[in-house]
Amino acid sequence: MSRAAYEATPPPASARRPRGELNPVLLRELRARFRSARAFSVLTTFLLFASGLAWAVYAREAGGGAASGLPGAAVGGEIGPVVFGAVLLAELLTLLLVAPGLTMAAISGEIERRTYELLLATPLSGWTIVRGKLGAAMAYLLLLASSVLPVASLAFVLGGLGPLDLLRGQAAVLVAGLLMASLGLAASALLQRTERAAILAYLGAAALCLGPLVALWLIDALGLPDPLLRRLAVGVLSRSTPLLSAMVAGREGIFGLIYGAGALRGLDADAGVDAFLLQSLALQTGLAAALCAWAAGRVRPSGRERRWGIGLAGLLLVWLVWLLAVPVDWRLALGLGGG
Amino acid sequence: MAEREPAIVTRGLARRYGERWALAGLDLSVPRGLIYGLVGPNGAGKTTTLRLLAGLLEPSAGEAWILGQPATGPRHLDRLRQAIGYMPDFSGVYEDMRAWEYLDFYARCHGLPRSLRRRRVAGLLDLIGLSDRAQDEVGSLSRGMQQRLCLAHALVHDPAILLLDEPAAGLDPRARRELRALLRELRAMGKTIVVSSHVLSELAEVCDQVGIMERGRLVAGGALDALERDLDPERSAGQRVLLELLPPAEAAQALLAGLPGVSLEPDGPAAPDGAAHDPEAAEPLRIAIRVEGGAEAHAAVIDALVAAGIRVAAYQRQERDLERVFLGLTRAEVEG
Ligand SMILES: Nc1ncnc2c1ncn2[C@@H]1O[C@H](COP(=O)(O)OP(=O)(O)OP(=O)(O)O)[C@@H](O)[C@H]1O
Ligand SMILES: [Mg+2]
Repeated sequence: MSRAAYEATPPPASARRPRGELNPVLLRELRARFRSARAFSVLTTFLLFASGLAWAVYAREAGGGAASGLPGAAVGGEIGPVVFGAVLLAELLTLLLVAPGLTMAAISGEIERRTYELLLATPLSGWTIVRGKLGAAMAYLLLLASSVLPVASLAFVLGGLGPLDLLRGQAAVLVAGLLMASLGLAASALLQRTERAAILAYLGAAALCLGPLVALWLIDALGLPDPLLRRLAVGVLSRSTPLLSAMVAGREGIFGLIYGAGALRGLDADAGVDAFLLQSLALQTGLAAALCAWAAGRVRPSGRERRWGIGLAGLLLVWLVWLLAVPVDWRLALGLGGG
Repeated sequence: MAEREPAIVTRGLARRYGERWALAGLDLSVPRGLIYGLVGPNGAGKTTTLRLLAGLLEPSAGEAWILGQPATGPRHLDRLRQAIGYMPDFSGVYEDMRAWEYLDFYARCHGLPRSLRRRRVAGLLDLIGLSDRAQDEVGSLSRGMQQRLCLAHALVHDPAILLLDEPAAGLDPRARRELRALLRELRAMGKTIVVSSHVLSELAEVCDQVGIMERGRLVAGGALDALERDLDPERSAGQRVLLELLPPAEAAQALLAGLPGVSLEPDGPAAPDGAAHDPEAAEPLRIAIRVEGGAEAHAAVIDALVAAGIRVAAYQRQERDLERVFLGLTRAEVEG
C-alpha cells in the first residue's frame, strides 16, 4: 500500500446517479453474462434448434407433404406462416426454458457469494437492483429473439406473412420471457438459495404455463353456474398463460404445423385476435411487474411498494373493465370456433 | 457545538436473534476523527454492532445517531449510506470482474461522476498496491489481495465514517503493518474509523480509544491508558520490560527489586525466586520487570545492572499490555 494517491473529495451532494449513466447493476450483469462462454453456447444451440425445426417443416410442406399422405402443400396454402410458426415455437420453448435460469440466482447468488451486504451498503434502491438484474436477462432474451430474425425472414420469402405477424409473434414470445424471468427473480428473492429458487422458478413456470389450461379444461368439463363468473374466470385464465398468447400470435403457423398450411384459411379468425393478444400481453406484463415490485421490496423495503401495489391494483381494475367490454373467447381467437 | 458532537452515538442499542440477545443494550460514543477499536471475544456482538450502524440490520431496541442524524433501520437514509464505508468480516467478491471494474462498480453505485470515478479507482488501486493487477480478474487475486480490494471498496465514495470488521484477518504481517499505516493516514484525512478485532495487540498501536465488548455489552471504553489504570491501578503503572541477562546473574533479581520504581513481574518467563533457573546453565536468565517513569528510569535500570557487573543481552520494552486488559476485563465480567 503505497503513499496515498487517494485524495479526499467531498462525496456527491446526492446519491442519485448522474444523468446518462447506466444502472451499475445492469452494467455488471451484462459484462458477466456476455463474457461467459455459456451465453454463446446457448445462443448457438438455440439457433441450430430453430433453424433445424424450420428446415424440417419446410421440407415436409414443400416436398413430401402430399406423398406421405399428410395434409401439407396439397391444401394449397402458402408455406411461410407454417415455417414461421415453427421458428416461433422453437423460440417460445427456448425462452420458457432459459428465462427463469437467467434470474433464479439474481438475489440468492449475491447472498451465496457474500456480496449482498456490500450491495445493500450502497445507496442503490431495491428497485434499481431488480431493474438491473431483470434488464440484463431481457437483454439476453432480446439477443436470442433477434438472432432468429434471419431464419424468420426466410419464412417471409416463402410468402403469406406480413410484418404484423412478426411483431405479434416476437411480442408474445418476449412477454413470455419477461414473465418467466420475473418469476425467477421473485423466487430468488424469496428463497435466498439458488438451488431452491431454481426448483420454485421452474415449478412456477410450469404452473403458470399449464395451470390455466388445466383450469380451463376443468371449467369446460364441470361448468360454472354463474355466467358472469364463468366469463371472468375463462377470460382471466386464458389470458394468463404464455402458451395461449404465443399460439394466438402465430396461430396459422402453429396450427399449420399440425393441420398443414392454410388450415385456417377461410375462418374468420381475425375477429378479436388482436384484442385477445393485447389483453393477454397486458395481463402478463402486469403480472411480471407485480413479481418484480415484490422482489424489489424484499431486497430493500421502502415506501415505494405501497404505491406500486395501489398502482397495479388500479391497472388490474381497468384491465377487468377492458376484458368485460371486449370479451374474446380464446377458442375463437385461436380459430377453433366459438365455445 | 455541532462540529464536535460525536460521530457515532448509540443508546441502548440491542438486537435479538430468536431468544438470544446478540447485542444487549449498547451505549457507545465515538468521537469524530479518531480510530475506535471494538474488541471482544467471539460472539461478543462486534459484527452485529457494525451491521446495525451500517444500516444492514434493524435493532430490536435502542437508537443510534450518526453524524447527528438518527440512523436505525429504515431511517438509515441514503445520505448516511454516503457517509459510511462498510467492510464486512467475511465478504465475497465478484470473481468475474477485473480489479478496476470491481471498484468502478461501487463507485457507480455511489453515483460518482465519470471523471472523478476514474481518478478515484486509480488512486485506490495504488493505495492498496494493486495497480499492476488492475486488469486481472478478481477471482485470480489472492485472498489477501481480495481483502484489500474489499477495503478499498469501502473508501470509494470517500465516506466520513469507516466501519471495518476484522480488516486485518487474512493479511500477512507486512500487509497488517501497511493497514495500520493506512488507518493512520485515513485518520489524518479526518475520517472516523471504527475497527473490530479479537486480537487486541493488533489494535493497541493504532487505536485512540477502545471499547471492550462481552456478551453484547460494552464492559469498558475509553483511551487505553485510562483503561489499563482503571483495571489494575497498582500494576498497570509503568511499562513492562523483558530482560535477558547472561550468567552469572543470580544477583540481578535482588538488585532489580531494590531499585526505586521497579517491580518484578510475577508472570515473567522465569520464576522470581530463581528456583527454575540453574546457575550452572549457560542459558541466559530471562525476567520480566515493570518500570515506572520515562526514558530516564529505564536508563537507570540498565546503569544499575552494568554497575553490578551483570551483562545485559536484551532489554525489551513491551508494547501496551492489551491482552491483559482484555482478559482482566472479560474475566471480571464472567465472574461478576
Ligand atoms: N444471523 C444470525 N442468526 C442468529 N444468531 C446470530 C446471527 N448473527 C449473529 N448471531 C449471534 O449473535 C451473537 C453475536 O454475534 P456477532 O457476529 O456479532 O459476534 P462477533 O463479536 O462479531 O464475533 P466474532 O469475533 O466471532 O466475529 C452470537 O451469539 C451469534 O451467535
Ligand atoms: Mg464478527
